[in-house]
Amino acid sequence: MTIEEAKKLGEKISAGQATAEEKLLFLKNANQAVTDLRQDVAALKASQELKNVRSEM
Amino acid sequence: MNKFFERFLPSKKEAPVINSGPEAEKANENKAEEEINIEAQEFKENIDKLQAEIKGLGNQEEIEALLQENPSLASRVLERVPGVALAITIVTGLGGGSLSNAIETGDIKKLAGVLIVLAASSVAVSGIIEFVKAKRADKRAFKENSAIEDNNAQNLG
Repeated sequence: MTIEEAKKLGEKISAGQATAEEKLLFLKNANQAVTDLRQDVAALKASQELKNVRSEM
Repeated sequence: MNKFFERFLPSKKEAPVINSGPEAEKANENKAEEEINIEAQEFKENIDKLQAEIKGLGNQEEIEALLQENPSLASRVLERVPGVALAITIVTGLGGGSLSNAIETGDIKKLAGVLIVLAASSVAVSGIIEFVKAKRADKRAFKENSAIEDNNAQNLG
């Protein structure tokens, strides 16, 4: 789902015009976006820890 | 009853399933609402974890340095942040400020600040539930409105 599609679906939910399936789809997509970002943050953390270990050696 | 004929009668397990009608519609609606509640709870927990993990990276300056040292990772984060910021903004009704700007931003220099704001945003599960439930969709009303709009469009055409 693109940002634009997510925006439109979010507006539809806010307007009370979305079905339960559409609400579920929106939440699942939102959840996936957070999961993906968490993976990148974890990679940044790993890089930070590696740097710290190297500086201690 | 003769055992021979009994085998042709439907067993209890094979009782016909009602797939239509108001009862089935109600059952499907309840199931969907249950799934929405579970997904909303998971979303909240996922956001909580993300916020703790961002905070674990350090303060804004430390995150900025980290992003500069990892340009490819920073680009990926830059692509993902707008989606998350949009979801939080829509679901919680948080508007304005850096979080809304995150949806449009393409600037790695501002990314650390955006992550800090993201980590500090308050996302209550009640807000999420309210978002998906408060203005409950009335399918019939929506269909009627659509039909009226279609009629109007035809009349205008």
